[in-house]
Amino acid sequence: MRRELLKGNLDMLLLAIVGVRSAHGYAIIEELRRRSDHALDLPEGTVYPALHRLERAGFLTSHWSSEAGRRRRIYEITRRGRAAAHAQLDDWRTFSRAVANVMKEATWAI
Amino acid sequence: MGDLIARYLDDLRSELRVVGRERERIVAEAADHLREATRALVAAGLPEPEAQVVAIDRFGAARDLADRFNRASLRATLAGLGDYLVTFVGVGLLTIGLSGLLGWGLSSSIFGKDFVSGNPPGTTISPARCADYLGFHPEAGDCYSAAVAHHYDEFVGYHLDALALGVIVLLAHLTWRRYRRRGAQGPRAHHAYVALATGSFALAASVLLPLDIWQTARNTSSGGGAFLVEGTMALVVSAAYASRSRAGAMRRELRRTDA
Repeated sequence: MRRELLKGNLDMLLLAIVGVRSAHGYAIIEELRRRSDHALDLPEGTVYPALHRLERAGFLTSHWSSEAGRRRRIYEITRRGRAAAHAQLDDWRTFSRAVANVMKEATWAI
Repeated sequence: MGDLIARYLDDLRSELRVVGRERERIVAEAADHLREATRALVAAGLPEPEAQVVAIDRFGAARDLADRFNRASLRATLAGLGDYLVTFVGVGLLTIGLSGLLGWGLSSSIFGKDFVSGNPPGTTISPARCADYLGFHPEAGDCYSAAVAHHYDEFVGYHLDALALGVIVLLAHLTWRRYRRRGAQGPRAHHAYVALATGSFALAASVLLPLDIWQTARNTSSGGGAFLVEGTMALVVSAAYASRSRAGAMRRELRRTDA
């Protein structure tokens, strides 16, 4: 899948994943890959600036956690983050329905 | 950790323009990610050196990653400065406005108008200016009383304007922040702002209050009360900021103890 398509929706996807379960960066990326059946593949490092941005915006919080002697940064969604995820999901549903309706009649492209 | 990952982390560290704990956090997260990815690839059957190459390749170039963090950090810093500047201006206007209310209350209930707008000793009023004052307040009867009444109107009017403007600035800022859904700035920036605001208002109080004492000592109805109410309000706001700073320090200490 083209990376530009993912770009504008990365925040919503990250909130959707962290909204289910608090996780560290690597686990979030693995979950993104697993849930998208490996269709959403991006340079893994780009997820971290997005996570930091979401944290600065108050949508996520994070803390260090020690697992088997390793320090990992665990991300959690905030109430504000949940509200933002709902709003973004509504926008996404409206957009995808509109695109689907337009493409439904473009039988020549199918 | 193998050489490749260590070298990658060194590159990342040197490319980052973010400083202090933030930089160490970025590097630590990258290190943890690369270690985990390498481990998973080795478990899948790749030799360690190759696994490191693949893990780094998937993670992206150190310079690209650092650029993203650097840009975000600059934007956040500028936005944070703007936020604090507007808040400071709003609180400043509100303080001026509240000091006006205090001055108005004290003047109208206890001390009279010359408490905040009395004529300093040695004031002389030219005939033209006298005519102006009496034009504004013909009921005053004489030039000096008319001047006091006029300056009192100005004192109350300007301070109430500042109050209204302060409320508008702070409400607009709050609404804009909610609309943009911007979160709070980092604790260090917040701590710096609170310290700066505490110092600024304390400085204002330390200038205004001695002015009041100096002027009131010469003549109690010379208008020195204006400095008194403004200085008092600046002191109150400075104390409020200081207690916020203290509460923040206690919270940080508690968090450290919990950790």
